[in-house]
Amino acid sequence: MIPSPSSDPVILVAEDDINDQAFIRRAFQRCGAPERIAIVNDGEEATVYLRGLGPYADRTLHPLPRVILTDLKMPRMGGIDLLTWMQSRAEFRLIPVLVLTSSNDDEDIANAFGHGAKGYMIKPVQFPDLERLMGTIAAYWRMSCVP
Amino acid sequence: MPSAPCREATGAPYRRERVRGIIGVSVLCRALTHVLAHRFSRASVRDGGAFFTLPKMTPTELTPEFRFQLFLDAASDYAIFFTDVSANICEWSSGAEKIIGYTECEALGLNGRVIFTAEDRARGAPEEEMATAERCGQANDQRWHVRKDGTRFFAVGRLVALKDPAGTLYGYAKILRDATPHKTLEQALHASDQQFRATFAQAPVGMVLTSLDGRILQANAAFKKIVGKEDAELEGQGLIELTVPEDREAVRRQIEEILNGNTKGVVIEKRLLGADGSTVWVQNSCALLNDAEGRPLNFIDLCQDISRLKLSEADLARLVEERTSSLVEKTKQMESFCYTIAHDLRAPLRAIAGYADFLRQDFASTIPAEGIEYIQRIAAAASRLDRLISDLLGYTRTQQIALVREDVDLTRVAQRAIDQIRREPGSENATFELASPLGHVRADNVTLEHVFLNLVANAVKFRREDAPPVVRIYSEDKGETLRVWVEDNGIGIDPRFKDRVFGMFERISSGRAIPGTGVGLAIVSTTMERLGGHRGVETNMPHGSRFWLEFKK
Repeated sequence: MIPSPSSDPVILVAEDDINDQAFIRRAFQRCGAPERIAIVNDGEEATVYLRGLGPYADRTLHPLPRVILTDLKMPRMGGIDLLTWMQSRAEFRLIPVLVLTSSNDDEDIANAFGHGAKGYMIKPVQFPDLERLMGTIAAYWRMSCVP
Repeated sequence: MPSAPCREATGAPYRRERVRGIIGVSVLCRALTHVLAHRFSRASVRDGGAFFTLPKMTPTELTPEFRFQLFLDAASDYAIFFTDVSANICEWSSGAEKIIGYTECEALGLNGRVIFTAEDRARGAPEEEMATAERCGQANDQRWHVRKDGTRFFAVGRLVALKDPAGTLYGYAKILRDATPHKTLEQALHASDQQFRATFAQAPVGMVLTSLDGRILQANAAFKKIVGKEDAELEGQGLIELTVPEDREAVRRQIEEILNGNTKGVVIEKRLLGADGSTVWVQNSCALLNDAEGRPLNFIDLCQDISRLKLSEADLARLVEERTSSLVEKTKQMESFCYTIAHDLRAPLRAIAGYADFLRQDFASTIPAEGIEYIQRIAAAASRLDRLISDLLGYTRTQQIALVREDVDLTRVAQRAIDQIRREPGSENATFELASPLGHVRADNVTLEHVFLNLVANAVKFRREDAPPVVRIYSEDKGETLRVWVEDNGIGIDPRFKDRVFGMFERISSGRAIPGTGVGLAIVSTTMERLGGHRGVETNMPHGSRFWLEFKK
């Protein structure tokens, strides 16, 4: 799906599971948030997007996201690696990253915050819950000032 | 035969003092043959040379007869008697009476063979001795003799052949000394020596005798086997050189301690250098041997080969390490297994639930009512599976989480559990009574809160339909333990199942379906077990259950 040029802020989602991608996309559509959503398949593709390389070279089509949602367990580059990478890059360090995962493991939570995550959400099993969660996240970051 | 006046005139103690201890049997013999020359004019002095002279007495003052008597009396530590050629006793000294037991009267007329043991008489020892004396002039002997009372004594003696100047044998003189104490001592020493030698040689323990400067004097077979060396290599070598350099300091301290006299023997464990460069662990006990005057003489070292013990110690350490790492590995696998369940099992689950929802949302108008119901059942099943996974993970965590031992205020823990359950849907009309204070125990705050949460949640969940739930928590001091009761007025538990309820995935509730996964009480059970406490359930009258937790104080 080719996003249309828009000045709407973008929420970048890194998620490898196609079902979850579908749910997240649908949840965003249904929650009525004005933000655009860009979905990449893993952490590495997220770094390609952020650097504006390859298919993401056009910044008008693929602007830097206002907030990033990332899964933890993904092929090639996982969520923690993505967080680490972003922390090491001055130009991306200040973009808020939220973890959206099925793991409620204490260690994962601590690890994520330790690597600079600004939030940690458990993927709800019931779709209506996901819809509410997406609406809440979008609304929160819409209200929050970001650098 | 000695006369009484003579004895009185000279005084026995004086004479004994002069004679005892200075003369041996052979000197006495020489003296005797000399004296005999005076008594019997025809006696020859064959054993010439040394003349026996009694102190302060000159031959001119004393008749030969008197001198002979004096001599016989003085030599009271010696048995002296004379016989004719047939060995019939014709003269018997007081020393002979003292040592052999016969009085002079009894002895005269007896045959000299009477003092021989039956065995010696049987093998012709008396005859042999007389023959030797006749041939050589005298016969020396050391043998066991028999006293009048039949007891035996060991004597050192000599039989002298008495011949006239023409060389004709006319009798014998027998002189002997009781050497039984020496003999006994010698025998004891010999036995002791034999024992020591046998022990030294055959001991399965390595034994080494070293000089005070640590040179090896003697080593037994066991020791030679340990160090793989022969006598020739060992003798004179410093024992410490056979110890591995790292352990030599310990040996020096050991020797120092012994020489300081603080202790008789000191035991250490050290490594000896074995054959072909190997090392042998030994338990070494070193002791100081003193001479008769108590001066240090030698060291004796005992070395017990404990290589096998040491080896099994090493084996044990290796085994423990292997098991630990295997356990750590298993724990890791278990953790990763749990993680997989949490993560990967849930993804398809969410998909099932999600797409069921999409179907309902997007195609509700085209799906018949029955289809919609199926979709709802799919969603419900997915939801239940999700809770099962959550609880299973929770249970696994309570099993694996490291417990701390800290002071736990049970009142606070119970209160927190009540506060949380009170906020949850379904608790609206529930009453909670907490009889504070419950008391303090040594346990883990976090896990114990889970335990109380489970019990309080159950108390509310398994309510009767016709009565609002009442939950009471109180404690009971049972001396060494503290028991906390969580009591409800709910549906209760069939006493037949009062143990089964604590099992994994056990769901006992009958009649109306009460949602649950059957994990909560399993968590309670496991946690209490890990905390070293107990749990149980009783029937509450007239309705409900009384769960209890028991803690060591």
